[in-house]
Amino acid sequence: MSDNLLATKVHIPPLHDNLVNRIKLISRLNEGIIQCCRLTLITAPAGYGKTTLLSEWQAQAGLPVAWLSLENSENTPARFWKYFVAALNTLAPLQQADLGMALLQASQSPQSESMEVQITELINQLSALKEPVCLVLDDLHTITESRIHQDLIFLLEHLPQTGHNLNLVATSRMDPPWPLSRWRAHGELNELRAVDLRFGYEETEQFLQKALQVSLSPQEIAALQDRTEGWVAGLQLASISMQARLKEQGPESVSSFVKTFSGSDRFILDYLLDEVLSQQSDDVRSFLHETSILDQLCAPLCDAVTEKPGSQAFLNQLERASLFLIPLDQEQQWFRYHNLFAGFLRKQLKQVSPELIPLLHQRASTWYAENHMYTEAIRHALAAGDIDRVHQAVAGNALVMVENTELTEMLRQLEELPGYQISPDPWFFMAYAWAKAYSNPSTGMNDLLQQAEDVLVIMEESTEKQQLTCHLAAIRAYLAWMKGEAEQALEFVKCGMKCLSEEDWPTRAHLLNIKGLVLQYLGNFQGATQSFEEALVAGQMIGRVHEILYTSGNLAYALLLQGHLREAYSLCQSAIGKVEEIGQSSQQFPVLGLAYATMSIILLDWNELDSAVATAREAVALAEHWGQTDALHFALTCLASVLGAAGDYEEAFTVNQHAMQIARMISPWYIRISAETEIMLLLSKGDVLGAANKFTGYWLTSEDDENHDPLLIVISLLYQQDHYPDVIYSLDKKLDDIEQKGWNRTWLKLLPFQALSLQALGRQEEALEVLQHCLVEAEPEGYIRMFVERGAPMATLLTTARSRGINIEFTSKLLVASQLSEDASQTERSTPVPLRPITADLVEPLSERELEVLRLLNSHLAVPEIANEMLIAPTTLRTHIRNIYLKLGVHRRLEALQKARDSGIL
Amino acid sequence: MTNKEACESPSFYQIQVRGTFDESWSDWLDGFRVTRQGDQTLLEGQVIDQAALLGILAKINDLGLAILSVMRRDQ
Repeated sequence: MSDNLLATKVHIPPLHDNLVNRIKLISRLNEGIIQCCRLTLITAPAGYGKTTLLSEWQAQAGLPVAWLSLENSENTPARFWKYFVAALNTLAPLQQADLGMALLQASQSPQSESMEVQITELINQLSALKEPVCLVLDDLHTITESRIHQDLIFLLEHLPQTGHNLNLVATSRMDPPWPLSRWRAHGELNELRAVDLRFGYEETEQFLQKALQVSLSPQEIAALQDRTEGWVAGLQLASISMQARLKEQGPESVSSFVKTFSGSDRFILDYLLDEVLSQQSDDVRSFLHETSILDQLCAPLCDAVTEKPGSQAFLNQLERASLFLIPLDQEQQWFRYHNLFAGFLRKQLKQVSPELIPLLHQRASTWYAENHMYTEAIRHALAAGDIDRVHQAVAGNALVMVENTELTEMLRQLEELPGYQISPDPWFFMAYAWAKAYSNPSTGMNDLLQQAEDVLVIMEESTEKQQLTCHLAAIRAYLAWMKGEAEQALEFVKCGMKCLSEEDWPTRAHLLNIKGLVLQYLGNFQGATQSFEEALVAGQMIGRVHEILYTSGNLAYALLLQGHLREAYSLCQSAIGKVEEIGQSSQQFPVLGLAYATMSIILLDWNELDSAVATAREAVALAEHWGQTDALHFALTCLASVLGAAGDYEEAFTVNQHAMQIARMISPWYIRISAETEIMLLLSKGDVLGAANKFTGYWLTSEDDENHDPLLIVISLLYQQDHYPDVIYSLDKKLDDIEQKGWNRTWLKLLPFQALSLQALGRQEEALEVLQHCLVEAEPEGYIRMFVERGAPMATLLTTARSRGINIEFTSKLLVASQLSEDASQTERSTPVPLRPITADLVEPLSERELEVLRLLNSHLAVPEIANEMLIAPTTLRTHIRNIYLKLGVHRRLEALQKARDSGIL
Repeated sequence: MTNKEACESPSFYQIQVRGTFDESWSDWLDGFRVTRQGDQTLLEGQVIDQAALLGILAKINDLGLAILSVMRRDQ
């Protein structure tokens, strides 16, 4: 989310024409603060003046007030706490305190215990303040996520009984799911409800007097109060009507309005909205009607929909008259109508000119398409029932559509259109083929591709034909990769690259991603990384979020396979952060599922099991939303693995069965992945025989595959069947090869088996040597699970290592983790691994350029992003980094930063 | 009826509210039929699950209408 939007959320709403001082209510609010109530809660339906009351109150509250206007988009813990902290930080006493940074980080991870620790920390930080502060949570009813409520309850329940520094004030249209009755019984709740907020006679009188500048008779005032039941919004609407009458027809007309209004038994909103609308000029009225089909409005869009210029003037006029127009940005370019008002307008439009509705949707669709907002364009085209237009919109924006929409939903919507048939437009064909390749590649794909080819053959040579050919090649490459036909896939990538035009960055990014995936399949992780990095640059060239997220997910996994857990993790985090930055929810970019899935595996390696499970669930939810089969299979496989580690085998096997079903739709390669996951689950459950049977059965029936050596499974099986000499023999033969290939994660995970086998055979010294090697490599990246999961034998070996003074800090940490894991299958959230002190002086000073790189390394940016920032190739950047490491005498980013800080360079 | 059924199966509901308004609001209220009954209004319609029911109730709340009763009817 941009800073602008963030600023509007924590900005206290200005008090517009405050007509009534609600002295009584304000003193009740003040009393609550003085009595140190746990919570001040204002609940009433819309239009009772909750926000206005607080806005008036805060100006004279006598303590600093921070404000947070909540919306549905804050319905995730990460986002909610981000704004919560941002709001608190607007307060002068807190600005120095660097408050709640840890809270923010904790909210990124779904583990609730860590949130509680951080909330306690926040309470402590606040109690250190010299003066109390207040935080207003406006529109709390928009928050429905139970985790946020749990954390808020925790916060409220743990505020010190007396003299707490944080006063929470919340407004809501309904009671939040909090223990209100308990707090009420203990006198800890200060609440104002609809009955308190209703205008009484005096307030109604004061309001009308100021709004109309004429005096009404006591009977008229009472009639209006009675008819509106003191509902502020009703009185406001009535006063808008009366103002207009006053201006045009003089004071008499006000009395007649009061008479008819209070005499009518029509639904009050209907009556008043009708009134307000009928007082508008014909121009304004038809503008309102015609633009009511839009969910959001800006002047050019309204011009297009009404086919008349001058919408800006209308919008300004409506804004000035406070006619239900809500600005969506600070620049006041986008607005929306108040929901209720929009509903009312649409209802009238349907009565007055129903024939106009499809036409209006068509115009909106055209405008959105011209302005590259395709999802909206399609939505309006569908609403207009205009198949040709849907086709055109899809055809014109093949890739964007496939990426941004839920694929299955898009196919379903298309196929449901009456008289639907595939458009002969080649771009439509391509979008359709992509969508199908992603979501349901098992049936009808060949026919579809053949048809696409036929369409291409008869096209005349043109750039367009070239582009289409690239797409076709990319689809074929993607399908070949999924089937494990690497050679063919690379051949298609090459074909695609050959006819790629210079500036077609999205397709280039796509092809490079597929190339990376194929290389990864072939075990060439470094090549894959390079390809993904190039794809990232291509994606960034056009700033396309989907490409950047897709590539980040792929790149992170490739880095993970090479053992760079921390780099991979921060890449995933920055991908997730990117979506938040632009103010979108992850639902709009389901491709993020890839990043979440990779993160779950990293969290598993770090032995943060609860977070790993929650993250993997998020990955599955997003992948299901996206509907891309390989992403879903990946997410399910991750979830099965982390569930197994967390000891929930029943669900783990079920999830993996689901993955297996999907794998059967894809290819034997995918089936193998699911079979291997199952064997690993059996092994971790301790069912060695079951695992061995599965393995033999599966191995006998599957084809040989030189690209795929299930070494980890074989070694685990041998080890768990006590074939220690075999373990040692196999590993002696293969470890070097694996290390050379750069499969660092696999390599590292194999070392404990070797060490433990040596220990089992009494070769203690060798065992310790291997373990030490393993510890040195594992510590910087924070691997814990691979030690913990080896149980008691590993604990014995670690204890010996510690007594010998080998990596005392890390071995102690691992032993604690093993103990915890032993105790109650309880998990420990690992704190960042402390860095070893590095004291050697710099051999050679860093160059200017290297210093620049170092400063960028000291940020959340991943390497490819830094390269982009510096406008250099990732390979060049890596050379710089290597030199920096060399000069600093370190091997990792974190070490480099620590060293740089220690020696005062940073 | 199991809890799952109650939460996840489509059901027919009658909602009685105080005050009167007309059929033209039906669209806004997710197609619920609007029938006037003296100084009250009866809203009837199908919701796909509990979340949809809560959505309707919130909309009625937003209209400033008092809810008198909510009843599930077996069809």
